[in-house]
Amino acid sequence: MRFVGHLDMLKTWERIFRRARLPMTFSQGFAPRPLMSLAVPLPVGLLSESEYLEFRTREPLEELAAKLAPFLPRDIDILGLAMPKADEKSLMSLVRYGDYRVGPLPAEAGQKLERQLPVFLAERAVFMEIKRKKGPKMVDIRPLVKSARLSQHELRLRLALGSRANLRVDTFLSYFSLVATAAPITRQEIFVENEAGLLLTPFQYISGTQGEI
Amino acid sequence: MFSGGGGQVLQQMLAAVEKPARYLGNEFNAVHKDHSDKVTIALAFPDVYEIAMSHLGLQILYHIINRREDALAERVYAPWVDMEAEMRRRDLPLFALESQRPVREFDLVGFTLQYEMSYSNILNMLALARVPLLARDREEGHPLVMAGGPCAFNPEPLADFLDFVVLGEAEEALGEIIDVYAAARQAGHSRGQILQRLSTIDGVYVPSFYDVHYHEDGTVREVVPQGDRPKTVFKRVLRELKAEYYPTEPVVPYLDIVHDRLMLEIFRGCSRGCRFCQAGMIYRPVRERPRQELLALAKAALNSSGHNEVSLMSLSTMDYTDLEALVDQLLGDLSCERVKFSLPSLRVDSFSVDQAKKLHQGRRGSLTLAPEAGSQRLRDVINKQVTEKDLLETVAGAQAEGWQNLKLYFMIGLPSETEDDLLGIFSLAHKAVWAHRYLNRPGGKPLRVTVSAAAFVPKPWTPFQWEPQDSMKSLEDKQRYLLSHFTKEKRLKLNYHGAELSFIEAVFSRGDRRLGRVLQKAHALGCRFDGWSEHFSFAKWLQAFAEAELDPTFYANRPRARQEVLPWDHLSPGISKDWLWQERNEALAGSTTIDCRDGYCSVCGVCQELPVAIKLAKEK
Repeated sequence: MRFVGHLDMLKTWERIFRRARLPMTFSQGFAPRPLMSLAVPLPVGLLSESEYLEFRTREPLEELAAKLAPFLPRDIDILGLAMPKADEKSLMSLVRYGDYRVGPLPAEAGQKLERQLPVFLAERAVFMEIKRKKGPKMVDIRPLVKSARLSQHELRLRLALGSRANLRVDTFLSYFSLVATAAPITRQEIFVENEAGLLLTPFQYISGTQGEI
Repeated sequence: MFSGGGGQVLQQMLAAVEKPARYLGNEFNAVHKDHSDKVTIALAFPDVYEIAMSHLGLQILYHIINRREDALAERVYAPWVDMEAEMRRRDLPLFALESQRPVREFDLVGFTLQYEMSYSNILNMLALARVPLLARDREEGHPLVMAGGPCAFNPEPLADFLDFVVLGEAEEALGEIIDVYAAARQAGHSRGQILQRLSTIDGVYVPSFYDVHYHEDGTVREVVPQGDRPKTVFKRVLRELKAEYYPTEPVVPYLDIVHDRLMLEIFRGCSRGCRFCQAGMIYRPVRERPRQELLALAKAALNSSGHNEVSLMSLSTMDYTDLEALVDQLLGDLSCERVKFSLPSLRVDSFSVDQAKKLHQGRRGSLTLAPEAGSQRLRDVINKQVTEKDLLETVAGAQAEGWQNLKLYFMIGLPSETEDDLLGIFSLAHKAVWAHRYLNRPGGKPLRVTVSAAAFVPKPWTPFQWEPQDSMKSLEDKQRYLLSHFTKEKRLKLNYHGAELSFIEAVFSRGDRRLGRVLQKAHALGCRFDGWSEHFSFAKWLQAFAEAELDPTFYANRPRARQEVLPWDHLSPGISKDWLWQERNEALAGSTTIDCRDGYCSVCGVCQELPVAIKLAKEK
């Protein structure tokens, strides 16, 4: 599924619900769309261990997973389901960070990062030119990198994600002149911010628990 | 093929190309079978994924083959140029989508021949698959390369590259082919022996079993079958479209394709008798599916696919005899599930607008009508029985219902066309913009009208198969002439294709076996994706003709005589050549022929020659 784009993935979810014959709720208007959204788009080419789909249904929560399971494509598993409180904001507006695993890294890339990553992390500000729709823009990417750890053959990253601030993994890698196709990239988790400013996984947020992140 | 390293090579290739979801092979309802002890068939569509996946025919065959225990079908489409470059760079052969096994390892490779401009892709795909291009160079262990589809009624330009051809409808023939192939393989037969056995199946044509002799002027003298093989191969035709032939579990793509919806084939064949239309000739007679069966098929396929839109498919959907009840029932049963409906082009009458209005509930995209010619005289010539009054009434009706956009399909370069006929295209389109005023109806906004003016390409097995195509110069003059008028009215837009493309299409449409040399040269020069303007190179094609020492105008622009042996005369859809000639003469006399569904049979030959008859869902 890593090569399926964001909008196509949403369409795929609509089709999964239709195949499972689970009633969806639709938007109003001439071209009604199912009320369904993914917390944050996954760039094409990335693997993921934690995607979050928000949807409305009248079906009881307990039976949903079993009803959907037979209709899932081979590469999609349901890892959990949770019911938010009635007035909860959508995840989309709350997402702040994403955790990524890059690896196994080719030896050359690993050595390069071993040399250059500590230098990067020691900086207060690191400006780089990022292509935007309106043209290139100089952006300080250092504050967008919450953490970056290199171990054995893997790079683990926590990068800004969402509508407020965002740094793509491939952009981060390109700072080190590495291409995104050099190693598999997996999004491991995303984090939202609650009213108290705490970072939580979406399930922690919805269930009101506060785990250790 | 990519099993070493967990498919890492493929993953890297996919990461490097645009729209990698074209090559995944893991879509909903894709069938993954174990290859051992099966007849393995690669179904090949010689164009890019988004077009190939929009084609119902291949889904039907995929379904029919995979239903069998002893056979499997996988898909293979033309890799887009970026993927082809990756494959060549890594020296990887063309692979089938489901198993990612090389196409070369399949028993049979079947190409669908939908349009002539995909022929260069067939050669390119064979080359990428590392299957020898020429059938005579293939050895034991190479797949048998077969083809079918509308262009199979003149496969002669491809004769050198195909081991065999299936004429007409393959739903039943394919099963026989698999049976014969499996038995012959079991018995340890050679390729030649297998082909011999396959050639005894009705509808199967083995080009290498027929020798073509030419006159000095390049026309065909005769086509001689070797041994006791039949002089004429007739098409396969289904008595009825059985429910079991319909793919109720269609493969559903992961990316946006051209027609991303459920295609419900409500009937096959069309007997309106438009004289330019090859589909209307080769798919006769009309066989409608019963309404209740269509409802059941639609529901089953919607459930298995998750599609949210159904298109009512056929050559002339408004002619389905039980359409009103079908539409009402579909709406009644499915609208609560938010299923949308779409229609291909409409027949020109108020009934059609009523049905479209019901099906499009609130959505008013654009309506499509096909008057095909600009004057009543020329519409009579082509037997398109539409009057200007009908058209304006229909358009005004649509406009009153809230449609704002209209598409009109016309052709230029039709036999006997004059300047008046061309001007007629403009004036009809102009009247359509202001239809309500022409009919003295109050109020209403003028429509935006998009006119498509395609260059006429004479096709085999039509009444115009003897007619020359208009010269490129003349077609281009006509396009300019039309454009000069269309720029006067800002609500009108004119679209047309380059005349060069239509010219090459006309050459291969009525070509003979000698054109195989041209195809090979063109392939060597790098021609592929010729249907895509950014890849079509007219200069390369001209060079290929020059190198093969063949004159393309001989095929495109030459009138044929009645007594001439046409390269496709021995490959019959059941229509009689005499009837076609008679229709041609009626055409040039401006006299029309009525639809045989309306009671009068003009004896085209199909129901006389083949074991088939008109089958309607409801008494007329």
